[in-house]
Amino acid sequence: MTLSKASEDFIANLRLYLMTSGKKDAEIKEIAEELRAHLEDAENRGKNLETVTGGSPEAYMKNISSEMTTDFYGLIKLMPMFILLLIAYFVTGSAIRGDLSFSLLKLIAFPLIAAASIGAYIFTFRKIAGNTWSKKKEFTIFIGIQLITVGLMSAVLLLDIFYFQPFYTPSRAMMWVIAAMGVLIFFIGAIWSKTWITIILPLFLFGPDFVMSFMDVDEMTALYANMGVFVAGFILLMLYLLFQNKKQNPHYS
Amino acid sequence: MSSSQMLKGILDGCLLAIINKGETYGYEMIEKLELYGFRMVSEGSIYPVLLRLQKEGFVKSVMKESPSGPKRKYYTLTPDGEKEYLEFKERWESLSMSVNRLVKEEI
Repeated sequence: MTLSKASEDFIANLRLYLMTSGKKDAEIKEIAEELRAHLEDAENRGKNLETVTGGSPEAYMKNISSEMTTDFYGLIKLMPMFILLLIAYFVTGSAIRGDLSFSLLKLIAFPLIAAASIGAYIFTFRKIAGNTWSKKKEFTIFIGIQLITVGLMSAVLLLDIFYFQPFYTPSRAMMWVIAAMGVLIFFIGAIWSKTWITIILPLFLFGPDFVMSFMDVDEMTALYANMGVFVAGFILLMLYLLFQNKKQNPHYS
Repeated sequence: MSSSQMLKGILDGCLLAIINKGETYGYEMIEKLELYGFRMVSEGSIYPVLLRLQKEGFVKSVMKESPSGPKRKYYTLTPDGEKEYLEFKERWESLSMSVNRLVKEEI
């Protein structure tokens, strides 16, 4: 028995909503299965999603969520790996290029920007789960958050160059050690999260720097190569998502 | 006040009463409630209540494959749940008696 598209979407969104609310995986799975069974029975008898959720999926999700215990311990367990990955993203690229330095401004501003950006992403995910927005709107919001994040980071970097002295600049050999540790963290992250994303993303971001650090290229060529790989990677990612979407919803795209 | 709003306060007790009649699952509870004349505005509203009843230890549940159809979660009352049901019944009887006396002007 297959469910209607609206019901499938509702269950997927409920899972997303509960996940971003920090509920336990096992409990999420249980309530999702229970509601799926109910929806199957209801649709078999000619009822639709609305008779089950009562018109406002967002209010209903909130209602379910409020009766489930939040798994703070589970969230805390995720934090160390998460923080390690974040640090690795920040330092690996610079360490490969050889311009890694630590200043007070960077040490304070980057974690704050990262936290705000992640907060904005999670907030958006929850909003998406509760509403039926168009793909275009979702996409615009995510690009918006990304642009603001990159903009803020660039501003911090500029300020840093002009007004702040680094209190520690590692030697070139030390930078390679740091870069190697960063790469190691990406691999551990991939095994831990069972996805390739923590390897593929750094590969696109830092791969060109790594290759070019062995070649004698001027700065402009390096910049163009970097941008080229980044744009190509972005297009590949979009194509992949489009393809996945088609595969999962053959009648709907 | 709509009847669904009135029902909100006593849905916990009504579900205890339905489960007290024998092991059952969500969709079947809706059907039984309808049999007794309840008209639910949203069928899904029983699930937050069931989550709460389970958290309070009044019901326990088990996942079972059904012979026809999907895997279902079956609920039964715990001893605490049976006690809670009897207390609900008493509270409801005295409350409904008072409301009836009031609206029918029996005094």
